[in-house]
Amino acid sequence: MSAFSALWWHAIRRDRVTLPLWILGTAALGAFAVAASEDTYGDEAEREQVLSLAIASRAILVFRGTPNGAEFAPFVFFLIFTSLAVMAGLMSTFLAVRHTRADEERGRAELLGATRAGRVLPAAVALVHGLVANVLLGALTALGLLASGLPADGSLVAGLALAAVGVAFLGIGLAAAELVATSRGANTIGVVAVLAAYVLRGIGDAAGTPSEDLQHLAPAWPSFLSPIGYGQFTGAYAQNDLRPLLVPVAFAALLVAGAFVVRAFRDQGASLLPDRQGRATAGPVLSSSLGLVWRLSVSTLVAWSAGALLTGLLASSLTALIDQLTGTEGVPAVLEALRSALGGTATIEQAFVAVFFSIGGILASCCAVQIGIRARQEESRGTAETVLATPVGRVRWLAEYWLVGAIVIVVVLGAALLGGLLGAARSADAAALMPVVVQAAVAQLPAALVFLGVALLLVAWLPVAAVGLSWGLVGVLSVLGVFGPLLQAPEWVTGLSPFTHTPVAAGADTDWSGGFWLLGIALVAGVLAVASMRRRELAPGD
Amino acid sequence: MSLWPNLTGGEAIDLMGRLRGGTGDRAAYAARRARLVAAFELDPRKKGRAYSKGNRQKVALIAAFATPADLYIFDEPTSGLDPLMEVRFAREVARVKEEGATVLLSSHILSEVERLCDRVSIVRAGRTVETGTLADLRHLTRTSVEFAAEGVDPARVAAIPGAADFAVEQGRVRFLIDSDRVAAALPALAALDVHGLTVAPPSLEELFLRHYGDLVPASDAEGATGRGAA
Repeated sequence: MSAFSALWWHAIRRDRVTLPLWILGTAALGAFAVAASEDTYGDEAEREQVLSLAIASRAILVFRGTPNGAEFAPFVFFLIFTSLAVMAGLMSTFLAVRHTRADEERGRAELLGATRAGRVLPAAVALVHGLVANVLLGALTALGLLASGLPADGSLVAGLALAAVGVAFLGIGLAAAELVATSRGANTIGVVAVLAAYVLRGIGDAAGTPSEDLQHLAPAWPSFLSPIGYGQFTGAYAQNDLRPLLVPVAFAALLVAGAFVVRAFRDQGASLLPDRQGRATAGPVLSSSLGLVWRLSVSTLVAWSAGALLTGLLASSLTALIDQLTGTEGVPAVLEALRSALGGTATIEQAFVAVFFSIGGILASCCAVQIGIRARQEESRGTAETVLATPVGRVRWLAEYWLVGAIVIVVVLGAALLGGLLGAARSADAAALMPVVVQAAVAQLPAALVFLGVALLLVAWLPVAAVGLSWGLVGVLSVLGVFGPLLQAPEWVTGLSPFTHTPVAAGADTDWSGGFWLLGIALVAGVLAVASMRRRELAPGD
Repeated sequence: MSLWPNLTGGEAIDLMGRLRGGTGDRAAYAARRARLVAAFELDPRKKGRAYSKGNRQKVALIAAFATPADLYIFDEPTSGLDPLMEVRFAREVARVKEEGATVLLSSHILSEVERLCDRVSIVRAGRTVETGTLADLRHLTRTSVEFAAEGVDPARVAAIPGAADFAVEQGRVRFLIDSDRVAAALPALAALDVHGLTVAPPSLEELFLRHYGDLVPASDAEGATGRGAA
């Protein structure tokens, strides 16, 4: 067996769970979206109305795509492609970093470098592995779309567009791995790049030039800076033009070539950007174990808060836009439909704000889970042992993660609230909007606390599985809570998600009972988790 | 030894010291820490993830010595350290012993135990099989005596009182004798007019092998544990 095939086989073995989950998950999301859209937007007239509403309000396009006619297949592409592209992008950057910089950081690459594999071959394996993964992703997604009844040629184009976007981010991931010395840093660059690509094409779509009939749109220049933008330029199911895909692929080729040049000449463990020197002595924060937890959480907190701030800003700015639209003839009927879909008595603005803040709630939950499972990561790394060897007890140790997690949730939601208030302040109807924004932000608190409590419970009871299970729960329950009604899941299934029970801000009529239930559950989970640390042995190792 | 990947070595040292509560006298702590950082030649500004194994070990040792304690417990403290740093470590052990502390050192490096420890325990499969001062332990085992085989009558060697395990290898006669009977055997050796005589007291390694020698896959063996008590 040659060194290449041996390494590749090893890479496949390592990814035997992760990659199928990404690929099948993305393909399934595509197929589900078709089925869900068939139910929700089965009628062409309805689709036309939705498109003209979206183009008129513009900002909605940030979260969808480039409108390309009211026919069913291009309409589905408009709805779902950018989300699928984000999945492809994240899968690819994580894959690239996992098989390059992460191996190097853990010292595994050094072992391989001493064999005839050398230093460059592992990166070549990562490249081929990633290319094949993206081809499979594109193929299976295309098959899924085809199986859901969309035309074959368009499905193929959509699959290829998805693969091309993934390949672009594979290149970004490989380049990021050469740029910085840590896998954490490289992954951060990767995620930021994916989000930036999404936002850039969002701005491009929102600022584009609409056609006369408000059914098509020519994206503005920011879309040309985004790989996802080029994926949309294919106009799958309508124009079916593959030429735009050459740009992301060429971009990836350039980055990969650069990465390989750097890799061939640099030392093991070195990077283009040097690791920064830190403080020689500890600051006042690092005076207690609580200070340590806080210090370990700050960078996480900053990242999620920035996202929450942006979400809040978008929530109230977009709502203000809706406000202006309600005066326009013809549009209110659609908005009325939207309002009733979002649940009952709320006004349009309230419903809109609530939907946006549920994204803020998901961000806060993710952040809280990340803090909770950090306890487990500290334990498996062995640094928890260092802390527990001092007068800090196990119960107090986990309780501090609970406390910091709760603070972090409040801060992240506070950032969303701040963004919301800033956006609302610019609206014409600030006085009416602001209380709704405050309520919507507060309403997210219980669900996020539930996720924190459950993550800590998993850390205490099932330490080995805690990290994977916690992330899995947030992922599945977020999708159920937000998309459950759209996917027409049975009520008992959507009922499993804390987000389903999150109070919906509706001014004085807000029903807070769901929130109190969630708070109770969060409290019980947290107390159980912390109390069971008293009887738990430390379980280091993976 | 694992460190926090995004805390610098200096931060980790201070954190451990503060958590242990030994930094009350700030000036004394700072002086102690600065001296140790210099002695172990550590760059405290590097992040934990950037340190080599030896440097992580140094961070742990500095953190241990930087705050005063009555009992220090070291488990394989010098693994990953170069010989120069091993000497520095020995110096620090001697210093805290001087200050009245007890040091419990668990190590597989027997020369280190021999150099540093006043009392030694050999632990095998979780049980102490031998314990005492090094002199006590040496008493329990036999001294090896060796000289050139040329012109020596093997029968007369075997007649030396207390000699055992008599052997001739590569032109050298070798036998073992109880350590407390070596002096008594010297006249017999003189009478033989031996050349190239070496009398080697048992090393800790031999003591150790005596307890482990028969156990080939020493999987659950712990190693030698030594205590340096003041």
